[in-house]
Amino acid sequence: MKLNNEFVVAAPLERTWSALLDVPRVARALPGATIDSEPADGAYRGTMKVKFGAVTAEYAGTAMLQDVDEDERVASFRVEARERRGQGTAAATITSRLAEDSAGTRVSVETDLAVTGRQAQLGRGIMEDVAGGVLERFADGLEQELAGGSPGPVQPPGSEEALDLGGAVLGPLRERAAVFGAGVALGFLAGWLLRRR
Amino acid sequence: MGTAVDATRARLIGQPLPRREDERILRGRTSYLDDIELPELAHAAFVRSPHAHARVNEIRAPAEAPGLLTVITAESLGERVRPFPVQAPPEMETADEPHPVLAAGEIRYVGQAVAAVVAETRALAEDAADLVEVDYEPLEPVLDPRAGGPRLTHWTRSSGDVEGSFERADHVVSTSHSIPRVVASPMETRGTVASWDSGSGMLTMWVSAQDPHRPLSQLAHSLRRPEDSIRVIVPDVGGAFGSKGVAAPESAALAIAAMDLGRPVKWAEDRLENFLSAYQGRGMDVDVELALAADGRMLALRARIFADLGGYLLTTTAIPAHTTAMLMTGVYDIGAAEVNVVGAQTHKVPTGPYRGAGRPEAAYALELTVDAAARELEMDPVELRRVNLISEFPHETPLGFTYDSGEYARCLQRAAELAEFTEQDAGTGRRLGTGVGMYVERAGGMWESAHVTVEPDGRVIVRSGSNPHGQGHDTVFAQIAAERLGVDIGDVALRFGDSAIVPRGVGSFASRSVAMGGSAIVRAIDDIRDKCATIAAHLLEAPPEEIAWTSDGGLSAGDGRELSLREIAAAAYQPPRLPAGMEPGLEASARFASNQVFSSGAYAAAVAIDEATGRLEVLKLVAVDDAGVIVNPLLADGQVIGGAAQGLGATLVEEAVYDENGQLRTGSYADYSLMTAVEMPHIETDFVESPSPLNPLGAKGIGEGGAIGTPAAIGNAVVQALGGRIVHPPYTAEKLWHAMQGEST
Repeated sequence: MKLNNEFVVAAPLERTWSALLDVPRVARALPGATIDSEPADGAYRGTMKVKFGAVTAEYAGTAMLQDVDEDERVASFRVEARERRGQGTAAATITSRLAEDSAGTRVSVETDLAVTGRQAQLGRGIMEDVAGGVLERFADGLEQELAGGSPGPVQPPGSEEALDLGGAVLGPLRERAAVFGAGVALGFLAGWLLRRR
Repeated sequence: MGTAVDATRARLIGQPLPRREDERILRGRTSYLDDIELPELAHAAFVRSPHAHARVNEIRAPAEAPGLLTVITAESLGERVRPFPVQAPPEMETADEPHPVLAAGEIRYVGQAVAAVVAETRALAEDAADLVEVDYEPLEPVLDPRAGGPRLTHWTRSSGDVEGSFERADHVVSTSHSIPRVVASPMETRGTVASWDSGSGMLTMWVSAQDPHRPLSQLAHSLRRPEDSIRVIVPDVGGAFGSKGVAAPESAALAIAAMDLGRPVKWAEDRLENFLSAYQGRGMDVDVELALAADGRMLALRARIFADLGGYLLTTTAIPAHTTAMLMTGVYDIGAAEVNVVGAQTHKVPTGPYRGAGRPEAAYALELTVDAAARELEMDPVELRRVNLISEFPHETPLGFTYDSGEYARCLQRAAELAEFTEQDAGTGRRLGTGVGMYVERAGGMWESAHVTVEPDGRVIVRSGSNPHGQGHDTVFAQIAAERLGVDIGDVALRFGDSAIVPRGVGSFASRSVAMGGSAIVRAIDDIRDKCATIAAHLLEAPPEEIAWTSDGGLSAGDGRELSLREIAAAAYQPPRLPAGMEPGLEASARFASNQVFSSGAYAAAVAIDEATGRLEVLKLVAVDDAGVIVNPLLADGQVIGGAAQGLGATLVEEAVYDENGQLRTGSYADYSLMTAVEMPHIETDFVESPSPLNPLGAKGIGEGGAIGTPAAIGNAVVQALGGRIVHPPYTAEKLWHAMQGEST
């Protein structure tokens, strides 16, 4: 499944580019993610915890820089992870393309995502909303990271904060939930009337 | 002896009686599978594969977890279970690829059960299942049935001069169709409770199923146990639509868990499991070629069917594509036909019978081809059909079915009358399309059982091998029994669904309950009536030939002296009052067997497609069905409307979507749409009743017509609205919009 997102960071192109190539720094910009400070064989081990509604999914896996095109300012990361509890896996190739923008730097992200297990059955609509939510938080985080300048502490793997995407996911479902709710109410009314007979 | 039916007091057959089971159901006084509670009941959850195709290298079960009782894998099942048997349709090559109870080494679809985890509650079982670590080695999945991958089934038949007919034909019309997989969506999902009594050696299995005896045979085979050591009880069932015709393979693992633990174990699947792991329906690509003479006569037909069967063969997986193949000539008198079926193995959950089960696919592909021919010949589609209809019965088709009866022309004429529509009805900015679709349906066949007892107080107890899962058997069978015996319908009680109580039967599928189960009741009651007449002659000291049934259900000696059925029943249990040598009691068993009967129908639809958005509205749907003699018109109407709703769903909104990795993208009703009351059009129904000569009721089957005729009629209406362009269902606004853009460029 390919997902496309775009955001603008209020920071110059070169600073954004160098931050993007620093895997621990990228991870720090993403709430819910933790990562080792040093790579092993080019891959960083880390975890990612995402919460949507009542469901929390925690993944453990690796992230590595796959391709870097300095001239075009295009970088791709490969992330492979599996659920800490449960049978699901997630693998993604995330390709970011940077361009100058009047407000700073425009980042176009193409994510080629393959998810298995329970999360996969959430359906494309919800997956897109989740990915969009993750990217939005990431953009905010990256901007803060760049504004702050000094690198903050790296979170060790397994720390407990989760990226809560409740709002992002539940929004589109709210309309259907309202219809469902009306149905339930009617059902109760029908049941009540029948029992009164 | 006068045992003529017309002498009974009330005509109940043909009466639109409301379902007498509804009060109990609507008030919630029912017991579905998940309502069953037993002392010490443990609960199962299954570890299911997240991959469509993979090798399983290792399974590591947690040593302990809260409430965990046991973890069962293919390894721990060992030789104690074997896969359910596979039913091979006549002359169909069928691979030895049965569905394993739990995955052993290989995964062939997302959702395949890998391990059964049993714990004190379902929640704890699910938590413990999350702790089971499975080392999968993902492999490339095959998803397209046309990809030329391994075949699970293969079938070819050719009859008549196919090649010559195509050579001589003035017109040859070809069409291609892709009918997507759909899920059955019963309100109640699947489930099993297993309970083992080590003292008696009896294994009791409650199964949410369409009948008790097929699951019983499957479980006995799988568990290598004699059938009399298993009792299957089917509780109230909240819908099946074909999807509970065979027990879930998981049921066998549950039986082992119950025996290992010495405690009863329940598995009531959740909706996600049902989406992933319950067999789906349809999933067939069909290519059709039709050869016609210049005057429109159909000379020969060729069809190639590619069935997307999934990873394994469940017991009935091979059947629907065979049914499609056998029905490819439909209601038409076509002298020559050649049909080829490839049942392809794909890395998806297996398919199986779902309301219509191969019949809708045949009707859809054939009927859209007939309309394509009408366009080619510039003939009216109704007229082209009319001149090719089969009109004499019995009719043997080139593919080998023998149609018993029918009045196809009358069905077509009636549908055309009811479907009058004009361009203005579509409104502005919308394209109108009208279409007809005809079908013939194989129904019934094999045999069915009934055991009828008239108790000493005159109450009638009917035990049936046919079994309800929402159809209304309790009402319809009581109508049949009460009319044939001349008693109040309230005096008839039905018993279903427990292999320890009902005689071995075949079950409820293929629209067979009334024709087969109803006829078995008639046969048993005929024996009882004969015995009643003999007893009456003895008690009234009248010659047997003078005895006649009265209009109020008694027996008269013709001289004013009468006995009620109640008086005869009381006497039947008192040997001194019976003729010498007569066995006491008043009961009879029957097994009624017959060849298949063939229902038919003509459907018509009018649709409007919004030119700006592609949004489709069904303006009208007309359903004319011939299911022979209708026992209860109200329930028959309900069957047609329900079937049409599912036919509309499969045509307009439903599709089980798998992505390129074999992941199901429609695993909840947020992504998988069903028709709701909001989208349902008005459905006009009518019946033609041409009695079947093959059973005493003259009945055929009405359970599936709506699901069969609807897609064909809607399909032709949509193709007409699109100016002859064929798109594949479901007809989403996006597809229709693109089809309309394609035309203008």
